Amino acid sequence: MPTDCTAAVVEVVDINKSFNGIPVLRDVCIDLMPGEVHALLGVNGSGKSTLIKILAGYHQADSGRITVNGTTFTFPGAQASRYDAKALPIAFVHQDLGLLSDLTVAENFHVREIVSAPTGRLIPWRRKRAEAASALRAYGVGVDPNETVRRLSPVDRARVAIVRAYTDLAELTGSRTLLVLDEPTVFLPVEDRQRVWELVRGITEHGGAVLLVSHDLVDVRAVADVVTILRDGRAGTKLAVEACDEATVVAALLGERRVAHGSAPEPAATGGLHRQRGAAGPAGHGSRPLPARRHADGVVADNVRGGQVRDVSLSVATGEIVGLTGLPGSGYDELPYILYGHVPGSGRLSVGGRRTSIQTLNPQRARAEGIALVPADRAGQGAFAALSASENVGAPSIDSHKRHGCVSAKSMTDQFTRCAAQYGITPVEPTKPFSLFSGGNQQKIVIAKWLLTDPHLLLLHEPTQGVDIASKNDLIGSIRQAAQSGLAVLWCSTDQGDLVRGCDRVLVFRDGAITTELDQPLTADTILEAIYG
Amino acid sequence: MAEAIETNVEAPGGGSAARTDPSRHEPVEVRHGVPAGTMGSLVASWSERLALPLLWLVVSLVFTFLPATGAHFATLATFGSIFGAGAVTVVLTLGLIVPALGGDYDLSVAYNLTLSSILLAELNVNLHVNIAVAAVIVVAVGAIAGVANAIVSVKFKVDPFIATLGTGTVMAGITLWVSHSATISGISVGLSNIVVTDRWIGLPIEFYFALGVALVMAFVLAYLPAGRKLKYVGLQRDVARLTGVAVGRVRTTAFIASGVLSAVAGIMYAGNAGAADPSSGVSLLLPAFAAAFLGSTTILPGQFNPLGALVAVYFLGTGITGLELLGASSYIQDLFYGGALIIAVIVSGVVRRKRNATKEQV
Repeated sequence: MPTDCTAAVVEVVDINKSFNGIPVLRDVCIDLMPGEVHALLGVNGSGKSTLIKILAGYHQADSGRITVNGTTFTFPGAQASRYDAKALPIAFVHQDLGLLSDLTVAENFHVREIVSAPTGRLIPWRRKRAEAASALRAYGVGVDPNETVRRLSPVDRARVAIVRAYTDLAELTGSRTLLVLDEPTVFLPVEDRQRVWELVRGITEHGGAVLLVSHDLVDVRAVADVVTILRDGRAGTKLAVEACDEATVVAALLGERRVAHGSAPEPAATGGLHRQRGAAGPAGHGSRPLPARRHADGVVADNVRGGQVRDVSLSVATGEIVGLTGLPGSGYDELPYILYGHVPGSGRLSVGGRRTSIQTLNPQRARAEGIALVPADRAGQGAFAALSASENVGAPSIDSHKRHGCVSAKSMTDQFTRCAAQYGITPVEPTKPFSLFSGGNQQKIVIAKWLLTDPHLLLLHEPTQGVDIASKNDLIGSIRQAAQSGLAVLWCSTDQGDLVRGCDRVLVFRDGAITTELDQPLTADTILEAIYG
Repeated sequence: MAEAIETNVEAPGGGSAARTDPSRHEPVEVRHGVPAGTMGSLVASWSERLALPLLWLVVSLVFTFLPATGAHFATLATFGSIFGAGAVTVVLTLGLIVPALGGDYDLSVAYNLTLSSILLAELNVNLHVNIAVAAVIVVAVGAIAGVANAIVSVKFKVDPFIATLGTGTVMAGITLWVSHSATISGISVGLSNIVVTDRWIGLPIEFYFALGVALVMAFVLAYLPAGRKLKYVGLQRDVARLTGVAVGRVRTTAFIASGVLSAVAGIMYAGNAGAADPSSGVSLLLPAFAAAFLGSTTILPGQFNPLGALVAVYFLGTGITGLELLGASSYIQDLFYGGALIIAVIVSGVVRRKRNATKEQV
């Protein structure tokens, strides 16, 4: 094994990959050095996941080579067929973490080993538990190895998954290893991610190389040493993290696309990129009129309880966008589901002057009251993955798509074509299955389908999560425009930049109650202060 | 509960879609396979849709021209008996696929059928109830059985596989109780006349009835909001719920429809024999499942569909009749239906995966 610590652990050289003749990766080169966190940034469709799948051996590159600790695999060719990430010192932690949630932490640590062990051999549980405990201790993860994974907090689950992946590797080959983190923190609140980054730092100090795939500049700045930006399948820009100011990165990410997608309805949308975090000042809001007064026909919720939420009262005027934020477990992200009747709760709700008891609310009644919910779990709750885009958009109003009493496919197709133009959904292919749209376009479809039902109250949970920057602008613009046309919006998010750009007011939760109400001018700093203060 | 089912049986249409997590695959702008709309894909898609009907035609022709079977097979009587005997299974299979489309497997359908036929005979023969009145009562009882299934599976959230196995066994017990474990014969000839004796263009009325039910169901599923909602529930239950679909009500309705269709099939079953016995109807459960899955590979491949089920029932019936004419004993039925179910589930899984694979190449 080479001991030269300046040699890359994994070297990706001139990788090309096409699908059906369309190039997805072109001459991509990346060096992953020991002790370094290398961030891979790119908008949806830039080829990030294809590159990761080539590293995992799931796809074979059309040409190029990958060198792992001095062994070179040249694509295509006989050698390439031996490229098997499982046998190489490369481990992956994906967004879903790959933990078995009904097993204990210790059992999860040894799943792979147990699977490959001879069937008849006894499992020395006492020793296995001790091993898991010591691995967790070594990286400062204070989790009980006997705890069921399901009962861990999301951040602890992520940390367990990372420690597990890395210890598997370390046993295999010592320290010259590559850990690929494919957005494992996407579902974590921003402030929790710091604890994951500390862990990642521990791994690089140990000499490992880390490849971090991310959408989020904040994450990248927090942990990465080097940044490679993929655009249209080319590893166009490599930057030291110090050089990563937002203007440079956004320019590199979007290139000419930035102009093409700059037509967001809100004038401030494109400019808003630069004050995504911290930089927003009062000047940025001068052009945005606050609703003149709070209409009585808006939304009023009184004494809402349920889940972590205990006794919350709030009101949202028609035309107003109110942000909800807080630390994990503070209940801010449960409120939308309670107000939609998906999570049981109690209290009173008044929408457009009509009163409802939350106790008897269910999604069906919530809809009848004019409430719409855009859940954070787009794939599991937001849409029918296998159905076409137009049927997804038409589903909530399926009863209205009737011609002579029959459901009309044409009525749904026409509706989709109209709303694709309005919300910037591409491609405009009504029959294309939802799952084949990119993340940003999927979210546009989900939001469009609810706005089409003409709700009084729109509940949003992390509406911009996992969405590229251009689509994010479109989405924020669409939501603001919809609000102005007579809609009350509750926007639940941990992305302070989005809250600043999207909301008129922000309510900060702590321990299940609203502790701070922030009015204009909003800044990411004041929100953060209120969350932690 | 949906997961519990998926681990047992690969459901056409459902399941896999719910499990693909689009946020993890970043779809790249690439055209997949043959662009839609070209001749090639049209031919491919229609050949897939029509493979089973064509195979049925081939099997029929083989038996018609095979010297060993031709003389008997090609007679109107044989055709009439294939279409007549199949009609009961068609209606039963249609009853099965209503809840199956919503993600619930109802194992009680065949027990419900047997109970219905016995109940009809008991009412008509021993209690001297007018046959039409008896039929109405039996259908009502079938609906109640559907309600019972819904209460256990929907209200008490028991996996329908287990729930309907339980309710079905209870129905089998009631059947034996009512009938004192004996065959009841002497049902009004009026029933046999409309079901099997009267013919139109050489085929018994029950065939046209089964065809009519299948067509109505196909229409409801494709063109009425009720049918679309059932499909939503089957695809991704959570999404359907959050979309505002009354999931519990849809599933309950599906179970009731299943109960009613099973009862109707039971009345037809009694009409065919002019009598009812407390056990033989149960043997229709496997043919119904085989036809439901085999039917999901044709007409609308990848999902349970009524016309596919109809074609599948007659394909299986034709095969068995032909083999029996060749001299095979009655054990051939179990071999054929069991084998057909296994092959149908495998093929429908392959069809579904192939369809998903072309969608998920990237």
